[in-house]
Amino acid sequence: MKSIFSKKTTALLLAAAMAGSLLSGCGSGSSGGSKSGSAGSSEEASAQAEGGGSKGGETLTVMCVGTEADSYIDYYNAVAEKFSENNEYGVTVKIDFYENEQYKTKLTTLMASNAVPDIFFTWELSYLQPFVEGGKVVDITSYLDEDEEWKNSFADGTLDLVAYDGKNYGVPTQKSLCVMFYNKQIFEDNGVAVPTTYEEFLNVCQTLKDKGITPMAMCGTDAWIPAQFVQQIAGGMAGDKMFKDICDGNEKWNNATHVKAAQEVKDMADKGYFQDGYIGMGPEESKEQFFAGKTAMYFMGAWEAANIELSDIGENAGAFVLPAYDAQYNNISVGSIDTSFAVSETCKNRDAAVAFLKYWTSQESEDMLLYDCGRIPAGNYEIDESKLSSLMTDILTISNSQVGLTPWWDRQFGAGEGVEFNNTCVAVLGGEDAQIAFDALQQFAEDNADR
Amino acid sequence: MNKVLGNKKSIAVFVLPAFIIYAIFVLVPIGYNIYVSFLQTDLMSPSKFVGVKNYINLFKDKTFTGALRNNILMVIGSLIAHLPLALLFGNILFQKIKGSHFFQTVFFLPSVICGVAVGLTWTFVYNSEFGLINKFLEIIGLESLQHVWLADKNLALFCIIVVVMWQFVGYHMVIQIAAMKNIPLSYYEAAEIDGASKWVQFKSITFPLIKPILKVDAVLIITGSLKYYDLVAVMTGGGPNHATELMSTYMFYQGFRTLKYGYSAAIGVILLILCMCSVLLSNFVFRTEQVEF
Amino acid sequence: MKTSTKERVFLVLKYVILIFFTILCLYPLLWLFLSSFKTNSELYSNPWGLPESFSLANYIQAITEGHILQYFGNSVIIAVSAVVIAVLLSSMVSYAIMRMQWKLSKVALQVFLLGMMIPVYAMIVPLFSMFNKMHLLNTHLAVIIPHIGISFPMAIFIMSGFMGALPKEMEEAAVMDGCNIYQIFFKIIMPISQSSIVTVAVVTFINIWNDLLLPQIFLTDSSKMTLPVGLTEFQGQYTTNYVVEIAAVIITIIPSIIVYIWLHKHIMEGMVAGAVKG
Repeated sequence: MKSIFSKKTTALLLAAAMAGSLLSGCGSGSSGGSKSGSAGSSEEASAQAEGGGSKGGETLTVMCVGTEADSYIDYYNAVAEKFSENNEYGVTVKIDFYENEQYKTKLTTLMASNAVPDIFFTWELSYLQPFVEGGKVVDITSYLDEDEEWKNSFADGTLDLVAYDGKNYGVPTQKSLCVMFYNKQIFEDNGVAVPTTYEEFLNVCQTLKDKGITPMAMCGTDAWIPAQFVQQIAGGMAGDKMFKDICDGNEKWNNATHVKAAQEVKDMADKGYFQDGYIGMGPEESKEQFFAGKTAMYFMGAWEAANIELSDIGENAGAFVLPAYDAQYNNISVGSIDTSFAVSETCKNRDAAVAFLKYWTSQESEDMLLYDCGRIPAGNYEIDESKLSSLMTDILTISNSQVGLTPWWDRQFGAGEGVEFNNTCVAVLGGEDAQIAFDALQQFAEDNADR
Repeated sequence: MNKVLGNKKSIAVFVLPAFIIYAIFVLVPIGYNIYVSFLQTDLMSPSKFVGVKNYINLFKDKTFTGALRNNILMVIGSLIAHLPLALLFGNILFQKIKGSHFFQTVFFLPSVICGVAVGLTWTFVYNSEFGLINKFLEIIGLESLQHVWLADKNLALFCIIVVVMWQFVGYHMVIQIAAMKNIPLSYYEAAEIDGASKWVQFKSITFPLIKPILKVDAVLIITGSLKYYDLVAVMTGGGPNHATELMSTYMFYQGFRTLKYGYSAAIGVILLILCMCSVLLSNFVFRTEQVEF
Repeated sequence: MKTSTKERVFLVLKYVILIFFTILCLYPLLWLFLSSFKTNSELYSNPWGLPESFSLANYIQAITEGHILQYFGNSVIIAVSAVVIAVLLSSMVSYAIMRMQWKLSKVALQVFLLGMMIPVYAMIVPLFSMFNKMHLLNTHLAVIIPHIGISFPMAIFIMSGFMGALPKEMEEAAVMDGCNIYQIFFKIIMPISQSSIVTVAVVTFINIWNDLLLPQIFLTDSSKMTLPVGLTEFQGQYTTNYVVEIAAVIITIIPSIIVYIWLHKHIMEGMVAGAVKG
């Protein structure tokens, strides 16, 4: 009997607990998503403070993209460790790394639940925007204004990419741009030189192909990879004016340049300039093709440099900027700031968080990231060229010679038109007519405007 | 007796815990979801009531209509595999055939394996470089038929549907065999005496008598295929260029990638409506007529 | 028993079909199992044959670097607690609906069965925002509770069918003996409903064990993730090291297969008891 009664009691307690939560559930229901969450966030903040422990032993948590396969995470951790060893706030910084796709899901869920760690990795432009508008990100304009030296250390325009309504919400720590990595050994063995015109580039591809070497490694499953190549070629056809015009709404997505550029890449694929089966290969797989010396070139963001130097290619790696289709638009590349960080509204110790980002962008840590990890700093720093590997010398030369950078479409426009641009490029590679595919993209852009 | 079974307090103890959980975590969310589907919200900034705009936009959205079409193809594929094909297997195994038990056990097996693992397994099978299918085509000299299966926009969805067929045919077969076992053996014995062939026996005894179960099974099949998520999420992520997008994956994408929760909720409501329609449809198709012998 | 030639041809044909599908069911799994012992380059050069050696290196890597065991533990916690609660509560409701005397019992049954049509997807956004307000996100409860709720319709469907068919005499005898309702339920009804309870438990367990969506959305810490989510994370990290990924898949599949082989009689018998009640 006793056991039965206790079961009954448990059931009643459970029922009562559930009824209580029903009320809170309804309360949340009626307010919808409309609360910008000032009350919620302060609750969270105090909850976090309790969890964070007493003063002095506080931990700042940073959320960042990366996996154990990425060599850079050791260096990021090193930055955190150095800061933790000695800072006036006595805080310890801990970085949690998440795989790219997981990261995006996690950040959106954490944002909605006001549970974002103190500092989070973000992409620039449209990615951060909804979080800023939702009041989830700390405005750091005043911190920048207080420290003119820090503010001025950023290269021109870099801060604007994470500024909204004239206020700064993010700190870019790096710059990045797309380059064509190449295997010097393969080039030498086959008697081809770094191309300086677009025709020469095509000739290099054809020559390699004729000798039985796959010219380029390409990935087909992650749409942004072929898309950045299309964007680069389109930039070489029409310059960065077309880019700005599309952003301003003065040019359409299905303009002749986009169609032609996508067709150009499709032609390369048809001629066998990409490895067999590339369309079904993921980014790691296709990267591996270049790392293992199976392909001669690899078009990718400069952030890949460190991984390449660690691979079998090692010292044999070089980089060049893809010559423009129309020579007057040489040196316009796909590129932007990279690895920006923002401070979350839930962060309690904002001064310490900003101090950490200041440390990250200081000469000391940027030097380490540049010389050891091949990351181009966002700031204007003196660079000691003798400390650079030959690959990094190539990349910095390219970076310094650029006359225009166009951010990746999916960073400019985010999950709407940006991602669909990527998908459109994949569709063209998959055999869809380029004109039809881009017409559909334009249609999407028009429909998406009021969604 | 009635005093014990009619006691209000004990009825409440038996029913309320489950009902409260069910109400709060199933019924209320459904209602709230319908409400959210009329909003434009990212769950952070103030939300805006937009009426049926999300729904209008959905049907103008080619990706959504594509996802809807894919879901319908999925339903058709599953129905083919899980009704006629499963019935064929079921009917063979129901008759006393050696190893019947073994075959049932084996056919049922894939349905207990988690969708992610099944998806990954078949990703390897479809792999263009070392996958079983391309290697097999190579061996029999049909290299021209080799494909990069999951990256081909015309084939990818078909490839996934095949996996769905493969995974659940045994599951539905077992349900159907269970139904067949409920038919009194005397019916068959009588038919045997009348000299009815196996086909006639199936047509006039087995099929009509398992119809009620087939109705339930059809609902399971249709709602099941409207709800698929894991396989596509793992095998293609909805790509290439949305070619394998399903309502579920698109809903995830719109909600947790582009932060259009209202839009995402509207997809959920449509999914709900479709599931309800499938019940009506199965009721109609498998309506039980008077059976005469 | 006379067998005509025609029947014999049919029999052979039947076996051909059955054996063909048996191969189709088992071969991919066998292939996967063999591949899990290969090295990556062996996988490309020799996809069909036996591995050169049955080395456990891939498994060790999957366990040590992939945190597979941690995911495994989380899956067990979530699935077991959800199944226990779901089975207990749904059998109570089924009993109350089928055997107890109250006016709304048929309505209640309909309301519960309605849930069979409801796709989880139509609840994700609201649940997300509810758990957010209740501070349950990123806790196992956020996955357990909805799973319990979702499992009710099917569980009640199966069990009410079973309990409705039980003879009344048993309860009458028990009442005569002076048993109260709880004793009747826990001492008489539960034990004799064992087969349907096992069915419900197994079906619910498989659904929860295999679910990807809820943990993917409601859990954010990788230390709380379940196996299916862990596998997708694996897919992102080891896209070139297929053999380790394959080993991880095998580790995920094996418990399901063992449980299945161990309980398959119950599962199938349970289906007879449950699904057939339609």
